[in-house]
Amino acid sequence: MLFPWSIRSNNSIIPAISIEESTVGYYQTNTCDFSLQEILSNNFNNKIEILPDKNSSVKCFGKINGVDNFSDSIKVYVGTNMNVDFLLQSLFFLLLVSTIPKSENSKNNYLPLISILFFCGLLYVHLEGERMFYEYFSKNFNLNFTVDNYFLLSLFLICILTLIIFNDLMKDRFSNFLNYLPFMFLFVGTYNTLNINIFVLFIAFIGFKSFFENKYNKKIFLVYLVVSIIQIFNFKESVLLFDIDKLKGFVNSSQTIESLIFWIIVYYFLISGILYLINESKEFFNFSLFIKNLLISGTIITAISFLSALNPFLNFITYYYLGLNKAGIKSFNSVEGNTWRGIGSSAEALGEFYGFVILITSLGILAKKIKLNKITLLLLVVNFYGLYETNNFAALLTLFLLISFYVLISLKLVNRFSIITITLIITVFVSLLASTVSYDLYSEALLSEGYIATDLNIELPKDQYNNTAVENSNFGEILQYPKDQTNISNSLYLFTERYTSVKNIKYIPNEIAVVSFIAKTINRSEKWGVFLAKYNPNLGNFLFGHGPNQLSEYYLGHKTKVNTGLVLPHSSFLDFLIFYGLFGLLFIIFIISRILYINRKNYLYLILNSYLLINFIKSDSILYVASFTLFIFIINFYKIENKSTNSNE
Amino acid sequence: MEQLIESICGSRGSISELEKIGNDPNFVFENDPNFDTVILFDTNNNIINVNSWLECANYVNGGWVGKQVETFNGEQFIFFVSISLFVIYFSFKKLVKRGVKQF
Repeated sequence: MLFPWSIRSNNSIIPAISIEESTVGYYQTNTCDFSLQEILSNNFNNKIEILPDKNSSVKCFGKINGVDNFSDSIKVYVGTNMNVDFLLQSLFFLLLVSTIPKSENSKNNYLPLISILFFCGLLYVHLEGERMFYEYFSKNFNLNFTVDNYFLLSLFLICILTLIIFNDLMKDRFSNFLNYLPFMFLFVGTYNTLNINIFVLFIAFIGFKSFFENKYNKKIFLVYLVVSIIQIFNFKESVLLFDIDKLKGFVNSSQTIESLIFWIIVYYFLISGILYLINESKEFFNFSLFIKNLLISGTIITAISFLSALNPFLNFITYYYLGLNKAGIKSFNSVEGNTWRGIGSSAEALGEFYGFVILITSLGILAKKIKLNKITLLLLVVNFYGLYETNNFAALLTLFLLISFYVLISLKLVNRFSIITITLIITVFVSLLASTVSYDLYSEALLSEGYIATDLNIELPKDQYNNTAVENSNFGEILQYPKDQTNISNSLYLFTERYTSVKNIKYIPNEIAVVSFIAKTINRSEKWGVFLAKYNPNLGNFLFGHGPNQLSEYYLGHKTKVNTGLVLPHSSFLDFLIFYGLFGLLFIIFIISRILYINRKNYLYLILNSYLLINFIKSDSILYVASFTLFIFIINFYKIENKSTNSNE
Repeated sequence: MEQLIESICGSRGSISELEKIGNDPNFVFENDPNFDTVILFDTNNNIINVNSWLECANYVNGGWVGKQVETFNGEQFIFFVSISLFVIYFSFKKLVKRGVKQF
């Protein structure tokens, strides 16, 4: 693991010295001479920040390629390279997969070579489709099919080698894979210089097997195929480069047809892969082991988060080998308004994970009578601490309510009377809340934030107090201007029309006002307002979406005041609306509702899904591989539960 | 070019001084004792030591650079490392299979 960072330049005889303001020039004039390990001994406790220089040559890999002095810290750039990253990180993750215990009952799951070649061919489509992204990170980026194009040849060869080894490893570990799914939250699996996540590749590879074995739902496949074709026909290529930032590995950076095709195929096989894993290995699923692995994963995440904040070298190495989407936070506390996120990409997602660990452990104790020993109890305490640090109040509240609900259910205290009582209490609570705040303020907040984010092409007149119609929340006035002159998005315009409509039914609150009230209460009015300002689909995109993991057109296609940085919709439902449109969103809501209804007596299943779905309302969890995988797994958890019930009978 | 000359040779002189040299093949550069010797490389990695700013600027203007030209093809290296790993992996697999069979 550390060897690649220890290779010194052959020509260099000068010593590594302490990195301080006065010695920055020394390192600037001796680039690619010192390895990371060399400067480690002189600078272990120095206040430096180590960052990857993703545009380095192979020769400069692992060496100091630049040092810059900033007001708050000295930034040290370590050379990294796409080809080396692909090889080194793949080997490391294969090593991790090899640590999954073999299962005696694993079936022969060998895929023919043609499937490996297919996936490596897909890799080419991905590189071609996101060329603009990759050219930024590799001076030698070249996709020409020539015998001396070692850039492409080496990537292709590494891909084949990785999938062959993975295929071999999975032969004996397939049945046990689900039990170790929790470690995807720790070993995130995103490559440093590639917009690919290795677990997406692995699980999609397994999904391809289900296709190959004809073990897939043909109706769903046909629907997906039709929608995908519509998305492709409705797609408009453009020169947009989306800043993938913390979504690296699971979002499209470009707006090209090849990249869309890549993500359509991979998304389908990823979901197929998870379903195939569940269907083929459910009898080997061990609930206790799953919980234990969640607790261990959560604990190690917390520990590594603190270690990586302590030391810049650990911060860099953990970023690289855990395959993090972004380096861990370099502080123990919230920084500049950003909640503590440890090594997670998002504090919210990490908080949800901790909450889920606590929830499933609690339900395991209550429902499955799982006993915790002292060690697992300690691990649970660490996870509680992690939840506390991420400050995710929504996750904590949901956790508390759902566990309470389960306790009431198990004590058979939930009946019609208690449900009516609880509903009345909640209604009274909401009414009291509504009476303590300004209903007008809350009901207008969403549209107000939407207009603040909108880059209006017109100069709105000001009143005697120097306020415009936006500041006065006089949205009806804005609608008087021709739409094509104002640069208001379709969705914001529609919402404004509905809010200012004279067709409201008396004493029934306006639906936009209700949504705005809810958004303001859960602190989402700003983010959902930005979503409204940006979401400007044509009819085709509105009905069928832009495609899986396609955010570039949504984020950059319509000009707003929020086009830099990464301001996400903060709702997985809104993300899904962008990906699959109204049709996709209603379809998935129908499918989920149907599954939940069929399994309504399975309270463990209901509660786990409720937790995830409630959090999905206000977080972008489906944009992160581990959270997305967990959700697909949990929504299909009834298959495992039903298998256990049938076995017990 | 001016920036490149300045970054390699420093800012002791001015570009206009290069006009002094013109195309004179017999022009003799005078050593400047206050100028730290600079090592320059051409595309074939030939080395020259220059001892004045004017001499340095002249050679940089002619295409010489301050660092050796990269001859190491990193991607080719990774390609052959990958092939080696392939061979090692499949050899190891065969050995393990043979070992299991014999056992």
